[in-house]
Amino acid sequence: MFKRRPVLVAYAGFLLFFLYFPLLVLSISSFRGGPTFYHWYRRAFSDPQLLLALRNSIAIGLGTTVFSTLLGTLAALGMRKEQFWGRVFFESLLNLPLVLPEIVMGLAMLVWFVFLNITLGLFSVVLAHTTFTVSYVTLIILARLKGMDPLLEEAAADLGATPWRTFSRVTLPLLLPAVVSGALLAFTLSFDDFLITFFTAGVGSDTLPLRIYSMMRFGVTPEMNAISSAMLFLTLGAVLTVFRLRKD
Amino acid sequence: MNDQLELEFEHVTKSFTGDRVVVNNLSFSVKKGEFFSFLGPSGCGKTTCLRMISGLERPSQGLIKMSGKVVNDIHPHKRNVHTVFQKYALFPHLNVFENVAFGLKMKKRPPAEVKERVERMLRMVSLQDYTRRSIQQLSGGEQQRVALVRALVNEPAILLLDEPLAALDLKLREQMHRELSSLQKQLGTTFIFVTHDQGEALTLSDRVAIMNAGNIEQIGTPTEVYEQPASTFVARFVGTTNVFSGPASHATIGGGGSGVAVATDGFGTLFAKQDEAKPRPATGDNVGLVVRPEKIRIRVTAPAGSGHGGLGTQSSTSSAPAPASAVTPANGASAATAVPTDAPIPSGHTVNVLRGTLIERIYFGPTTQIKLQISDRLPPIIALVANQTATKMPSLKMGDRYYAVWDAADSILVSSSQPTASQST
Repeated sequence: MFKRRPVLVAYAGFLLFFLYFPLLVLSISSFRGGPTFYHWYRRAFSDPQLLLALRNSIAIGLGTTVFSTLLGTLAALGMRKEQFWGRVFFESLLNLPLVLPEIVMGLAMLVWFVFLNITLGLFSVVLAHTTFTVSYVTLIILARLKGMDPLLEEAAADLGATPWRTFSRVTLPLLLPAVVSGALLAFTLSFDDFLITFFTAGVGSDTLPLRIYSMMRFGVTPEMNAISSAMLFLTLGAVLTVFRLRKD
Repeated sequence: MNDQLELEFEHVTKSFTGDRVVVNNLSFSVKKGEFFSFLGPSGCGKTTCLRMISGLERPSQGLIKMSGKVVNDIHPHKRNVHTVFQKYALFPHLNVFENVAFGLKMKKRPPAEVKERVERMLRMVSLQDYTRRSIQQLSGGEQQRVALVRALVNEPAILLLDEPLAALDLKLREQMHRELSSLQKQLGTTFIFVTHDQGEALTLSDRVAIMNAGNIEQIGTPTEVYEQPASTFVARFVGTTNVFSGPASHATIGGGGSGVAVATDGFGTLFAKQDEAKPRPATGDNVGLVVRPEKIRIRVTAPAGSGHGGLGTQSSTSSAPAPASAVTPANGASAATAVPTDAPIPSGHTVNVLRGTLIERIYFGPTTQIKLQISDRLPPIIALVANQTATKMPSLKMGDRYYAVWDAADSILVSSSQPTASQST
C-alpha cells in the first residue's frame, strides 16, 4: 500500500518531522553538553525558584483535579437522565470552555475575582482551572455512562441493593476508568496551562509554565530544555494512561 | 384460600408517555409454587408485566398484590422477587462468586453463610470450579446459569425469568429446560417466565397466559390453550393452525350432540361440534373455526357416506370466489404435542372434506407437513402426516389432487374477533 503512494508517504513524513522533530531535539539536547546525561536536570531541579514553581504547579494541579473530578462526576450523573428541563442549555454550557478563547476566559476570571475580592494566588488559579477542566471530565464520564447497560443497575436493585449501594457497588466501579482518565486529563490540562494562569495567578504564585516564560527573556538555557522535557514526559505518560483506560 | 396466591394483578394498566397503553386492565393471579408463563409476540406487554412485578416499573392504574399485600409502592430492593434478565446483566467488574454473592451481601448475611450458600448453588449448576473466573471468560450457557443462581441463591418467593434462554442454541436450551424444571420442583419457588417461544412455554409451564397488544387473550394449562384456544389469535400463536371464519348457524352433526355450521368464504360450509361447556354462538355471529394440521387425514379418494362439510364432494372447486382472509393458516413451529393421527374417523361422524393440489411437502423426520392448495385465491390447507402413514401412501406426489378430511369433532370453535376485555382465572 505504501509503495503505491509515494507522495502521500512523503507528505506524512514531512508533517510528522515538522511537528515532532523540535520535541526530539529538545529532549535530546536536554541530556547533552554536561558532564553527566542528567546534569541539566540536576541543575534545573536545584534552582529554588524553579522548584517553587514546580511545587505550585503540582499543588494547583492536584487541587484542580480533586474539584473538577468531583464536580464532573456529579454533573455527568445528573445529565445522564433522558430528559430534563434545560438539558440542551446545560449541554451547550458544558461545551463552551472547549471552544472559548482562553484569553477571554482568563480575562473574565480576573475581572470576576477582583470584583469578588478574592485574593489572587494558588486558590484563585485552582478555581479558574476547575472551570474549564470540569468540562473535559464531565464529557469523558458522560460518554462512559451512556455506554453503560442500565440493566446492570436495575439488576442490582432487583437483588436488594439500595439506591446508594447500587451506586457505590455497581455504578461507581464501572465508571472508575472514566473517572481516573478524567482526573489525569484535568491534572495535565492544569499543569500545562499558561494563559488562564497568567491572568489569575497574581504575584508570587508562579507556576512552572509562567516561570519558564519569564526565564526565557534571558535566553534559552539548557536547564529550560531539561525542565520542558520533564513536563513533556509527564504529559505523555498521563495521556498514554488515559488512552489505556478508555480502551477497556 | 387467598394465602395460596403468590401474586395477584387487579385491573392493572400501564401506559407510558404519549398515552401509549402497554398493559391494558389485566387481572389474573398466580398460585404459590406455580410455573406460570407469559407468551406473546414482542411488544405485547409481557416484559412490562414482569418489570411491574419486580418493581422496576410502577403500574399506572390498578393493584399488584403479593401474598395478599399491595406492593405498588414498594421499591424493587425491598421485594422478595428476583429476576433473571434477558441479557443476564451480570456485573462485569465482579467474578462469578462475587456476582452470585451480591444479593446475600446486600442483605448483610455473615460471610461464612454467603460462602456456603453461593458454593452450594454453583455446585447445583455444575459451576463450582468457576468461582474465580471473570464473567467475560464464560460461555453463553455458563453466563445464563450464573444469572439463574445469582437470583435463586436469595431464595426469592417469586423468580422472574425474562426470555432467559433466547440467546442459547437449541441443544443448550433443551438442557436448560430440564434444569429449570427440576430446579423449580426442587425449590418450590414460584416461577414467572416470559417468552415468545410457544414450544418453550408449553413444555415448561403449569399455566400459560397468552398476551396480545397489552391484553391477555387466554390463561390456561398448555393442553387447554392448544386444544381449546379462546380466539383465533391464540390458535395461530400456539402451534400451526388452519383458521377459517364466517357466520355461524345451528346444525345437527352425526356422532351425537349439536353442532355449528360455519359458512366460510370459499371453503363451503364447515362443521364443528358444539362444546356443551361453552356458550353457543348466535346464528349469524362471526366465528372462527380452527383445525390443527395433525387432525387432518389425507385421502386419495373421497370418503363415502353423507353429512359432509366442505367442498370435497362438489365437482368444481376452483370457481369459488373468496377473499383471501377466509383461511389464514399460521405457520409457527409445530408444538411438541402434535402427533398426527390416521385412525379411521368413527362411522356416522360428520366430516369436513376439502380437495386440493399438493403444492408443498416438508420432511420433519417423524412427520411430514404438506400443503394443499384448494383454490388459487385461498391460502393452502396445512396437514401433518405421520411418516409411517406416508410410506403406506407412496403415491403422495407433488401436483396430485388429494382430499383433506377431518372429523367435525376436531374442529375448534373460537371467537373470531379478538376480545377487548381481559380474562381472569
